[in-house]
Amino acid sequence: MSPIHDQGYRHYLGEREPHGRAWWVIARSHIVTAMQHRGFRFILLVAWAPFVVRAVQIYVASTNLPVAEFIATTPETFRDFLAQQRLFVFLVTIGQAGLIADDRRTNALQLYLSKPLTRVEYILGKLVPPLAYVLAVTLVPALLLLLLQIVFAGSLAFLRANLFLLPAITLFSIIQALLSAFAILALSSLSKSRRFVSIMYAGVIFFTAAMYQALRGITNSRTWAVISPGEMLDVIANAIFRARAVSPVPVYVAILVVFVIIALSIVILERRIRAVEVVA
Amino acid sequence: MGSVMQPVIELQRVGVRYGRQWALRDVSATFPTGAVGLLGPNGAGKSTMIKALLGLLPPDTGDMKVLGLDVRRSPLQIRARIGYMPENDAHIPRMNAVTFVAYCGELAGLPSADAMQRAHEVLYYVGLGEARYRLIEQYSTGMKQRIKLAQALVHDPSLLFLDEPTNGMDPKGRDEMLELIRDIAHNKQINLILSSHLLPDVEYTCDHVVVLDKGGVATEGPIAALKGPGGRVFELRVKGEAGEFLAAMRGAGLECHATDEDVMRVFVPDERGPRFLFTLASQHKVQVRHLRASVPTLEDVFAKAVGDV
Amino acid sequence: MQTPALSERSESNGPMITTEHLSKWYGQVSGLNDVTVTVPPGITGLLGPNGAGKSTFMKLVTGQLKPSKGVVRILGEPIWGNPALFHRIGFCPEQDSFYERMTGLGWVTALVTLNGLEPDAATAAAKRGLEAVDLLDAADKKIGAYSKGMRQRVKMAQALAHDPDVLILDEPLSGMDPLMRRRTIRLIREWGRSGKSVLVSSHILHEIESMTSNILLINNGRILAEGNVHQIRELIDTHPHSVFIRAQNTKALARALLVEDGVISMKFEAGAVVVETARPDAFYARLTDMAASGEAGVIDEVTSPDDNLQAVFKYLVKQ
Repeated sequence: MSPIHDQGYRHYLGEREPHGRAWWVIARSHIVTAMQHRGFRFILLVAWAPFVVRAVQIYVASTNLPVAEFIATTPETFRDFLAQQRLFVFLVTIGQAGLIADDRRTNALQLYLSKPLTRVEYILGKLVPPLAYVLAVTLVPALLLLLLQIVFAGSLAFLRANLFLLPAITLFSIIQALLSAFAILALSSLSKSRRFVSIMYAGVIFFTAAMYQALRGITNSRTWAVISPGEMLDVIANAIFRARAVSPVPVYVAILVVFVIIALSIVILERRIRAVEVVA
Repeated sequence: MGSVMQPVIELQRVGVRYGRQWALRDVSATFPTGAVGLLGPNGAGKSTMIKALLGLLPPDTGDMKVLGLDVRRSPLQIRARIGYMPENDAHIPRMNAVTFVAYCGELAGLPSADAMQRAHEVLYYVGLGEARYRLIEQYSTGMKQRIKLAQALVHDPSLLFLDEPTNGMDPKGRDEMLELIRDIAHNKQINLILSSHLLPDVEYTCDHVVVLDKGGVATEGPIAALKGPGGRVFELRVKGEAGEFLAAMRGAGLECHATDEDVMRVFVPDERGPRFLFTLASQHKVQVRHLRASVPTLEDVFAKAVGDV
Repeated sequence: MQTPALSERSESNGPMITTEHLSKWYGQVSGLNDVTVTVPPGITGLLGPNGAGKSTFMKLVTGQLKPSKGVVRILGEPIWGNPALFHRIGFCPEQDSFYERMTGLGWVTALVTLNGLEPDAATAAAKRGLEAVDLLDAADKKIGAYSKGMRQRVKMAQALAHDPDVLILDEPLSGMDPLMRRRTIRLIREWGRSGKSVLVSSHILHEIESMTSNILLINNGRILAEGNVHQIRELIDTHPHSVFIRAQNTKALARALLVEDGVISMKFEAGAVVVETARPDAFYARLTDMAASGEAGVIDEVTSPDDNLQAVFKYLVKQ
């Protein structure tokens, strides 16, 4: 063995992972990067403030204080909590506007698609971060609240009386998360500027909500709610949580609208991420 | 090196279609081990061929094998063993050099600790050791080219594909990049395909070329063999009173063409060689500063292959 | 080390581009520092490392930037704020930015009209320009559909359509395939011969070499060298000349050359001897005689590995 070692290029004789891990490498990188952003950490933190308020409410409701009667825990509590989190879902989602737009700006797709990963893995890797963040401000605190209710009340009575709450919270959160994630991802693939994508996203949300109100005012018909994804989510929530509110459209229509939006997003993504454009 | 080794890329009657146009038409070719230059006019089908060998564009007809693997059946495995250095600027947003190269290594299948280790090594190798903690957005053109090479090398590929690797680099950067490429090809046993319009670069680094034209192979083979032996033409530059010397050459039956610079081309119709020219120069008191048998260049090979003399 | 400053003047008109104490700075950053230079008719290669000031120089010469100090004169008149002079200059920039939806002919015509020609004359001029770069048949296609080489050619077409006297070309061959490069080099040489002043900036030194021996080397915002490459080489007197001699009997040749005055070092390579000498004139004369008489065996080839642009550039920029 020569005492002078070669400092130059060496061949790699170690392990190589089997295929299929790439989506996680991509997702992990995004999650780590987002967490390094102070503004984003702040939003995540503030997103849990309502949780704290609700936790207190649930605690008080489980005591023998006279006021407890007025703020009893009901399924509405959880439904309302999730409705309140809509703002944070919006903020967290819009923070992901650069997911694909940044890659398009720096021509990163040429690198990604020349690696041993498929387009589906790329898209999956980009989908997981927004999904995760939205669930982190909806599903996780909501389930935690449920847990706290059991802990504070000291019994499973409430849960057993409202067993549907567990799947309801989960299902609704997932639908909301999927809708937001696909939407922001699809919009992100349409532009090279994350600022423009966030404007588009905010624009779509506010515009459709405003249009609904306007059209409803003009025509006096609530069927126009179909143009507003936010309203459609409400309809679904009503149905899932067995709320007493009257929905403007039947729930299967709302599900259809959500489905169409997701399908459209997938089509957009498929067309924008074309492997054949990898080589100039 | 040079025993009967399996060729790195094999094409058999490969056809690739874009709509109604055939970008590659019934192409059969082999890329041997070592360093191969991929040449061709714009639109000849080079980028289509690259897409096909990366497994991104399956051939419509024919068979194509890269490193023994079929491009239709094993595109992912192929990409795990190829390193691709794209022509255009490309990087992952908001990462520093080390993170970027390690990330690419992981995407290519290296475990994360190994990927980070390799990233550091490879960055030193391409000359970015000092700058490896800086953001890529802050890099100069030359540095961006090097980091593209680094991300292509991090997973120790068996085949390296370089597309215009010296783009935008200043003369010093070009020299260093070409030296790196030569080192990779000749000393590190990594097979290499270099696609470039700069023929002297290809000549310096490659032993073999494949020339594409109009969707087919115009010519292929070892550069030395394609160039062929030199003729009886000499490049000559002298210093001194050249007038008499020129007249003497012409008088001796040699055809002399002065080019715009001071290098002349002298056609010797018979067996006379350098010594004759030296003698003539010595007699007329001019110094011979440059005398060389003119050999065809790769440019001549290219021009002949593509039909433009 | 003395900085060589020989200008090679052509027989025809006087210098086309002159600068006097030209300086440009951007806030604190110095782009160009007290540059006084004369660019003669014919072709001049503009060289320098990245960030040396070449693009600043070109922008100043084409009147796109105002000098912080000093003056740039084209054909005797200052160029800054002198739009009438612009139509005697053609500029082919490095950047690629077009109106993709316009046709080649449309775009070139539009730019030519900016130079003051009437619409009909402009279209005719545009066609001439496109023909010169072999793009006339593709002139009616949209630029968005052009290949890289064609886009480069259309840039060249707009630079020369109005038949300017001065041409400034920034990496004119980029993106072109080898045949087109050859043709374009030939085209540029023709322009030089026809009396235009052509300033070509490129990093590809061997291509500059095939166009011209006249160079302008910029480094750190200042002129490092100007003039004929070979003359510059000779003036770099502290740097010995390297001579590569391919011979049949290298040992005999080496023995014979050892006694020569001025030989600094000798190296053997396969079938050849490489000699470094501080006295090139004497050495070459002696070598020619030796080769003629055959006293040291047969000599097949004599070249100077460092008497080319690459070597001169490398040496000068290291200073």
